[in-house]
Amino acid sequence: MRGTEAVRTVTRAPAAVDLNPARYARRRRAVGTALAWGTPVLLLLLWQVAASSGWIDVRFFPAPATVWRAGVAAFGNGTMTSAAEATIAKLLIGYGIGVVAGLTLGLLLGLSWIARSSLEYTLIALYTLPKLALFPAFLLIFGIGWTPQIVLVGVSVFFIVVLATMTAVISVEEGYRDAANVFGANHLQLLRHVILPAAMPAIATAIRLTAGIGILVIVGIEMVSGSSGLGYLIFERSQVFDPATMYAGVIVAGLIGVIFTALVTILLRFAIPQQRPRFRRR
Amino acid sequence: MSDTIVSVTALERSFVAKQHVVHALGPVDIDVQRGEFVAIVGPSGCGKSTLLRIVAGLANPTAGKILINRADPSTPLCSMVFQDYGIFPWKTVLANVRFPLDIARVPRRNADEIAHDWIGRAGVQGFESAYPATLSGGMRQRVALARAFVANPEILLMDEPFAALDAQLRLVLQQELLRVWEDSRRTVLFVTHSIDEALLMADRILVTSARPGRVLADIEVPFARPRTRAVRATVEFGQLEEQIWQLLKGGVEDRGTDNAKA
Repeated sequence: MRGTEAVRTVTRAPAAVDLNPARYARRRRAVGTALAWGTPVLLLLLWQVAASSGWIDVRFFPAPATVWRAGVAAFGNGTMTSAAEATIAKLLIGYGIGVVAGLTLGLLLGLSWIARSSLEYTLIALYTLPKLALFPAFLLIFGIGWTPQIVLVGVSVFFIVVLATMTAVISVEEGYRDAANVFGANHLQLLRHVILPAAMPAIATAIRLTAGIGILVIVGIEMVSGSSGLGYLIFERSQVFDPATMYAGVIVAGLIGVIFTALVTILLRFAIPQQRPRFRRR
Repeated sequence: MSDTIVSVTALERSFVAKQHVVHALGPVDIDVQRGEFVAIVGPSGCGKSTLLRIVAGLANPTAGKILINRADPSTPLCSMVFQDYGIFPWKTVLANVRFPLDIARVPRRNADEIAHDWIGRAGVQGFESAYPATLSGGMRQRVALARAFVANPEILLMDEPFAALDAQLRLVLQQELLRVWEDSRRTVLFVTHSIDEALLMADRILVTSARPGRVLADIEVPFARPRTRAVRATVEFGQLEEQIWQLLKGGVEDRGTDNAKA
């Protein structure tokens, strides 16, 4: 019975945050942004301090300032620029082909039970094959150079997009199809007005995930094959014991991944009208 | 006055579910006159929705047939208002209402004009560019009604259109549907659980039995048009409500004992 005699009146009143929600929301945003940027800056500072005071071996972990200078130098003499360009070009071509092919075949498989019956399990079987195991075959078929690497990216992206698209189309609520059929929509109209927009959120998730997978695959395969791109630069720099430039390459690859994924996410937002934030009413 | 638009003859529908056949509907025989508002009242799972889906061409019967006598084969035959999933979350209110016209390839400017007109009549003006996710349930159902009327169909099919709404909103939308319908009378097949709703809206009420759905009674509703909710206060309304309830009660209680045995 603690407190019963001490407190007779229980008060429910607005707190400071309820009286001025806008101010608190602003403060929250400011603190959030500061923390988001502060964490990596703090980590870099720690790294810098650890390296310059000799706590870590700078032969393996060069200081951020050293990495920065090596990166600037590599951009200056063009090696980093051409490596990044090669990686981005291969990524865009392979990813583009993989997404478009996956989307097209996925829609077909989702719409036609005949196509689905004939291809679904074959595709799932191929999907589970490690794509890297096929790379020697791609080398034989497409020769050395960019083509086998682009094909590897395309294939990695394709299987995920095709299976996700097929599932998304099958899962479109029957009620939406009925609503279109009752007004006499033909197949193309059904696809355009109902199936595609209804399946788009699920398809978009696959397209977004594969953007990250694309960059993983291209940088990875560049390390073991060919002589172009960031993967090759990173591996080659480590072989000649130039860890500063190697880390600079890793960071550039990471930045490309972040920017590419962000771009894909923004583009996809336009493909899903009900999620376009500027039209959202609260 | 024998202008029959829909004539249903010995119609049946059964479904195959895990090796055994579920007889959902029929046999039913129904004639619907042009411009008539027919309500179909019955317990859940009596095949009322199935009947509408067959009229709409979304499902086929397994026996019997429906003949639809069209006045103008160049206009759309049916519109349907669904209890849910009716309107598309990825389209704005305007695009949703305009949808049947887009399907019919009506030029955009013309279609927008017609859609705006119906948006106004359904009471959702000002929300043309909003997405359904931002609307209340009542507003969404108004959009669904506007879309059904915009197509200017010969037959309007409504599958428990107000079932998901709260009681007050239901009263409002019933009244508005009556008003809109009395302005431009067309054939309506209206499925509902609510005896009260059927009596308020319809010219005729078909009372159906539990599965397999059959027509138990075909009741003329005597109230004059235009109708308002004032008819609810009349003695006749109460008597009809009681008469229909007695019919339905048998079916519902039978089902209850069936379930108890199973």
